[in-house]
Amino acid sequence: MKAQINTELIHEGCINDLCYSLKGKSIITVGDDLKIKIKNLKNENESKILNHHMKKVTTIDMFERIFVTGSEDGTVMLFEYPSGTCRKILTRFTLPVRCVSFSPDGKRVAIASDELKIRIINILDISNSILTIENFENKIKAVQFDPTGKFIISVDALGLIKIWDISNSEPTLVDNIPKIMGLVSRKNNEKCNIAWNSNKKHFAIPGNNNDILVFSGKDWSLLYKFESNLNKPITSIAWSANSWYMAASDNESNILIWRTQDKKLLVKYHHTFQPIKLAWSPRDNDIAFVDESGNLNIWSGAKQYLDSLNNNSTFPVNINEDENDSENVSENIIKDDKNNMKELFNLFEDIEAEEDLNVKENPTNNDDVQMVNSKEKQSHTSTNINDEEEIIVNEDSYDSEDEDIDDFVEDDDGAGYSERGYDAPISMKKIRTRHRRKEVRFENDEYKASYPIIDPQEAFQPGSTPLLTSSGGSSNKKYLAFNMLGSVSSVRHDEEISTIHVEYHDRSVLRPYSFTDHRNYSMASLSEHGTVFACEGNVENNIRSTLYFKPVETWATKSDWSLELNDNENIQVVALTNKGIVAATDKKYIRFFTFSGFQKQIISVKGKVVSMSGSSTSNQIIIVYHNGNVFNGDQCLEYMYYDADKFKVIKKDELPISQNSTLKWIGFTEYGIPATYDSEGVGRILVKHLDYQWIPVIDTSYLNKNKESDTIANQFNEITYWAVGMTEKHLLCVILKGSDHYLQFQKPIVSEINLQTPLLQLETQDGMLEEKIYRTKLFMNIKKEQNDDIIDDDVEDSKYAKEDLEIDKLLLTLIMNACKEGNIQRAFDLTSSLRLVASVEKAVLIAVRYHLSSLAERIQLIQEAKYAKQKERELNKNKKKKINNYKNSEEHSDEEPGSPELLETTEDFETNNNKEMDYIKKGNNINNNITKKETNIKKNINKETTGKKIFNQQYKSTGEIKRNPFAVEIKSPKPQHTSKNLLDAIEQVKNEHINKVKKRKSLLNHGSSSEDSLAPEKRVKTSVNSSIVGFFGVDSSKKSSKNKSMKSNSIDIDEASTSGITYNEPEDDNKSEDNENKFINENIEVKNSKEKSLSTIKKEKHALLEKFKFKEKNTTN
Amino acid sequence: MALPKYVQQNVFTPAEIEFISEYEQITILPLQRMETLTLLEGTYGPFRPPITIKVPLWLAVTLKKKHKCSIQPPKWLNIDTLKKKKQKEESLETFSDLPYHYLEISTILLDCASDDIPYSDEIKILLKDIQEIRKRKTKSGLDLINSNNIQLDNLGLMEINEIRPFFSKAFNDMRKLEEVLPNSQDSQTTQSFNTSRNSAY
Repeated sequence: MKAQINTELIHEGCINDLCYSLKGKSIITVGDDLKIKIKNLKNENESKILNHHMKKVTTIDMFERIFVTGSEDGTVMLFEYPSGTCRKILTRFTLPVRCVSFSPDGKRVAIASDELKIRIINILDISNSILTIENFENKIKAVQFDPTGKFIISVDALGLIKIWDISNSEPTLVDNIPKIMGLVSRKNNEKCNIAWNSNKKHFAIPGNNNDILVFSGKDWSLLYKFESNLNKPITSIAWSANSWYMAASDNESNILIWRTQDKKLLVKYHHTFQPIKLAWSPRDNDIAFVDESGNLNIWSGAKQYLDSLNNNSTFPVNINEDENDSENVSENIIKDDKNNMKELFNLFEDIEAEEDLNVKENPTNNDDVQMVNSKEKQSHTSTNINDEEEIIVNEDSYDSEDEDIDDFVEDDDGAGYSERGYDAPISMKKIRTRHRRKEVRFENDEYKASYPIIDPQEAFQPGSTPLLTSSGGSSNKKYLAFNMLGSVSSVRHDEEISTIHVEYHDRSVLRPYSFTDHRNYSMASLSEHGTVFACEGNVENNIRSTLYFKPVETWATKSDWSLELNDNENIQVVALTNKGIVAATDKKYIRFFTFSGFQKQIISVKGKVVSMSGSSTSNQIIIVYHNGNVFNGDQCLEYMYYDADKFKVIKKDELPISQNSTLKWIGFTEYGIPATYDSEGVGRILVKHLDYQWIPVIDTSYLNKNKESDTIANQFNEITYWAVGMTEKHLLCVILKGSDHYLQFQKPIVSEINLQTPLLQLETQDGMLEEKIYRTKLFMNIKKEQNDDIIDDDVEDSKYAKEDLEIDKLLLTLIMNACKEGNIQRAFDLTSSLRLVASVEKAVLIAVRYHLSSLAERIQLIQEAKYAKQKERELNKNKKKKINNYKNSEEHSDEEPGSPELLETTEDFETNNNKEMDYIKKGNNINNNITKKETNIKKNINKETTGKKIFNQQYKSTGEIKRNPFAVEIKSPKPQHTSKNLLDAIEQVKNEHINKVKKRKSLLNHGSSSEDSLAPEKRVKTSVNSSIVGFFGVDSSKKSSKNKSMKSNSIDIDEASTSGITYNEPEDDNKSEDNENKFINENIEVKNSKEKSLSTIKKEKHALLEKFKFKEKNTTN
Repeated sequence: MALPKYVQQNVFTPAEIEFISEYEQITILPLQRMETLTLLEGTYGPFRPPITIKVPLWLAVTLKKKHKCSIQPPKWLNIDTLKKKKQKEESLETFSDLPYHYLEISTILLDCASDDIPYSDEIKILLKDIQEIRKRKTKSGLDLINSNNIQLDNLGLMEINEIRPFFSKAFNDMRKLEEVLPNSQDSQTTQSFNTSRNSAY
């Protein structure tokens, strides 16, 4: 078997260092020829050469999309990948730089130079935060952060390994491992490096006995060695992406590869030149190495090759077949006959590689402690699986060789083999089923589909943080609560004493205050009534879990109180409503208290409480608890929306949450709607009128994406939104930049982020409008629901005129866009969701403007339908009112029941009418653009329209605007004529009415003359002595004429003339078009319905009358 | 003429400039819940802590004095930015791009809200330095003065005001001199005119 190694000369002179880009697309090399070369492996044209350094470039390290280089000229530069632009010079030394290394979060760079010091520089703030480790006796060869970023490992020229604690401002020496002195020989520029394995638990350093030493990252102890049997010191080492193999180069010219599993030397390759540094590609498991003569060598398919070796007989394999080292090799010969071996190996590697990728590609995962924990757990479990499987493989395939098994136990991840027996039987089963290819595939697919497993999240208090690490490194402060009202923070002085600081944002509520806390309160909740604190019990200090309440206003003495819980019960979360305190405990109890500590209620919930929050406006509370284990990354959470007044569940259901996320915040919006926000950046609200569905109203991950560009600043300014509250239009949050995932302690600034429902195509104008329409409607309906108004898309409600107008305005813009694009169907659809009649009118104009006559016709149909509906509705309203009034009048048995409510209804009509006028006026104002166009259009449309205009105005002037004049508008052949007719008719009716009114007045005046001036409500209460029989004798049309002033003309006409003139008018134009016929039909329907309703009213009146009479009889009897 | 002398010279008093600059918007964090303020000049609010809001400087100062808000210093008013500006100011010949009202705003803020600005003392010193450097520059710019134009980008109102009486007078005088000058120098002046125009934009 021969390995394919491609060699390419890319530098003049020695190449000193190389690194792969994150996804393995490119290799960046630095060499003695002062150049930095970004070599794109796929597309040679995209390769770049950078000339920035003045002397030999010695070292490079890369983190995601940036890399730093160090040179013998003493400069350390920061570049951007892939553009290769130089961002800045990080620092300067007087002597050559030997090694640079990124911290795990990519924020800091450790630099070792010949100056006998290590500098740690924050690349975001290079001027201020430099940490220097001094007092080295020898030149430093290599430096590397540990995975937590708290320690630095250094190797000096004598081979002394030192570990520094850099979490404080003063770096301290933790441990030195002095045993491997004399590591580096002869040449001064010879390399040595430190490599962490893929699960970041072990690191390897070349040792002095031509071996590689692997140390534990936990206690820095030596774990095992890779030995080579060649008498050449090793200079460069690298783990493969899954830590399955260890590759190294020695200072002669050999490349050596071991298998981590059993520390067996698999491959020995003799290169023509001395390899300086080597690296595994992160994805494909190629090996790249650079040599002293400027060649970049890539051994593609190295891993496949190595995998295949597992079937092969001889270790190590000599790739250069001409060379013969068989005497060294012969000892290690292993025979492996099992055929499934390779298959299994491949399988495991796939899994492992996949999971590695998962971890890498999920940068959001390290959001918080919980996630980190879970990640650790995850890697833990995954390695466990692997370990077990390895072991079983081992047992399967190495049955004969007992000595190997011992070797095996000392494996790379230190995951603890005591756990081996834990579920070994299961894995044994697994392995057995895997003997068949098909089943192996199945398993594999299953793994692909799986997501990182996360633990069920711990209980948390909304708005609280863990202990915060400030810049100084000390971590003694934390927020117990931070919400829209204020914040509670705690500063810990020592084990037992801390200070609690309570601060309301609104200083007028309460001045900030502090108190000393001996119990170490760990939770708090804050409302305008007071602040509640709670702590968990502590058996050692003999402290029980305690609840402590401090009210804002105190007229009584000793108003604050505390309450201890039982020994084995601990409070997990506390919340405040506007009437009391709620505490959830680890016994799955929810306890309710009043503000004075009176225990009102206790309930049990199904699962461990995750969080809860109380409404500040009502006595409602939302409790979230676990309803099962995590499945495929989904947490099974359930919420209970609870009314603490009646102690009744309002709604209990599963809580939706994004995949792989944790709940980050829960609370109530300004209007008392429950809302949540999760770690994936999705905010949801619970909408009552939609039968308690959760609707996502914001997805901050979109916001991140939109802002993302290829600049380095953004890479580090990864933004986290720390939710604080939600209003109708905004998510209120603190924007955290960089790797801060928790509220920081410096004055947090709450910003408003516009809500944006995650609808599609938000980047287009139409998408934006659609989103806006959707959201406005949603919140309008929520408001309506809260005010107990009817929710109906078609119904206009005067209270929400503003919203209606807003929606219509947006819709009209959409219609216009649709017309522009000629998308008539869409325009028509949109028209049907217009809310105001006036806007439909505008839509017609738009359609005409774009010469879409068919659309205009159709829209007119909608318009007519809307009119009809409106009328019907008004009638119904009146009917209801009348009935109500009759009921009222029945209660006040001694008054005249008839006239007042009629007055009321008429007045109602009047106000309605006025309002409608207002709408139209407003509509005209707001839709100014449209009206402008309208005038333009009007110029374009022929004379008929001018007729219509006059017609329209005349209608308005008479107050008659309810009827639809548009059927006639554009199409009617002789509009002027009809309008004249109509006007005359209206005049006639007016006169008639005036006469009637006069008559009626004269009739009634002798009864009570003062009535007229009284408000209708009062009139209901005043008793009128007129006879009931007499009243009911009057026919309804006459009643309506009992209006006090001419202002009510419109109604008079509406009431009385509908039957007469209105329907005569279209009849005149009967011949013209089908449209109008329809219109007429509809109108007639309306008329019929009206008549019907009138007749029903009459019947009801009679029924009431009879009842009334009956009562009277009773009383007289 | 009965008007005071400065009016004759088309010059504002510092107080007047301060007044003008008080219309600049600034972000505040209200400390007290307040409804919308309907004022002659405009409506502001509602103020809902902890949500920040933009108000004119004069209102911010008024509220600050009553301890009803804390002021968030503008982006440029921090020690890092000012240090950079100072460096720029020292190294380059042009004026660094500070806001038009930077002197006035910083003076007002440092005067009444120094507790809201971190490192306010150092900022004061930095501002003083910047101001002096700029003053020096304007003075050295006197050499370049000609009858046609002078380019002074990014100069604040206060600074312009300071040099206005002298510069305008100088311009006028130079123009007069040019008129008087014989035609033989015409070619020279046109040349300088061209160059100055090129340098202007």
